[in-house]
Amino acid sequence: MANRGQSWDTQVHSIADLREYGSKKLPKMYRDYYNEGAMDLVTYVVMVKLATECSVIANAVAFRLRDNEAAFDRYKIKPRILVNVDNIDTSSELFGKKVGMLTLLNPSTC
Amino acid sequence: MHRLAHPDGELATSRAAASYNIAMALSSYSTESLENVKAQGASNPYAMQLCVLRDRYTTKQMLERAEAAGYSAIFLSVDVPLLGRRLNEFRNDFHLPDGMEWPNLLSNGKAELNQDLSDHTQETRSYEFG
Repeated sequence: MANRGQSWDTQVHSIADLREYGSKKLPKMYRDYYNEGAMDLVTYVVMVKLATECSVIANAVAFRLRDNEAAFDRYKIKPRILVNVDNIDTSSELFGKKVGMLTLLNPSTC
Repeated sequence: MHRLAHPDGELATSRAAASYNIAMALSSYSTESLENVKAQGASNPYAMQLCVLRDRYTTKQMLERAEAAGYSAIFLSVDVPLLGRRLNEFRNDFHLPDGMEWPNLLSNGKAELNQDLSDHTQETRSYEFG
């Protein structure tokens, strides 16, 4: 469409694009390290079916990766309507310093 | 471990955060030193991620270095009395390539990633606060 907004890259338009595009460039050892988590990355249902205490603990950790992503998916950005958007200011304050946006790059694989 | 993906590693990530004036939290296991990462920054704030390691000296030196380098906050990971079983690391025999280290942990990563990941002795089994 003629009125679509600016794009910063011809290949990467979203975090999902970035993961897919980046993953293709990485050797398997590093790709799996970045993209996977603990155990089989699956759900609470699997976890409670396991009998031993050790398995439950291990899977409690495994539960995190997909649930973490799902938790972020549950956040909604609620648009406000019929307000003046001429001068948008996304800046805020974090740890006593002014930031352009309340966004933080965080370690996700450590 | 951003240098696994790009030679500029966490330095490039830090430059990106600085150029957009957003905050950055750095992993203890970063492949560039916390000092060099912070040096790429501008007025944007930085936080340091820490585990309470069994070797308290390693934790303490990291805390002191982060404070001296101007980090504003500590992100303390409290869910790793043991490291999770990352099956991809077993399957792929994950290891750091030659020339890559964990400078914040004063480690070349060889001991921690050497075969027996179930005995990740860097992590403490119980937290002792106060």
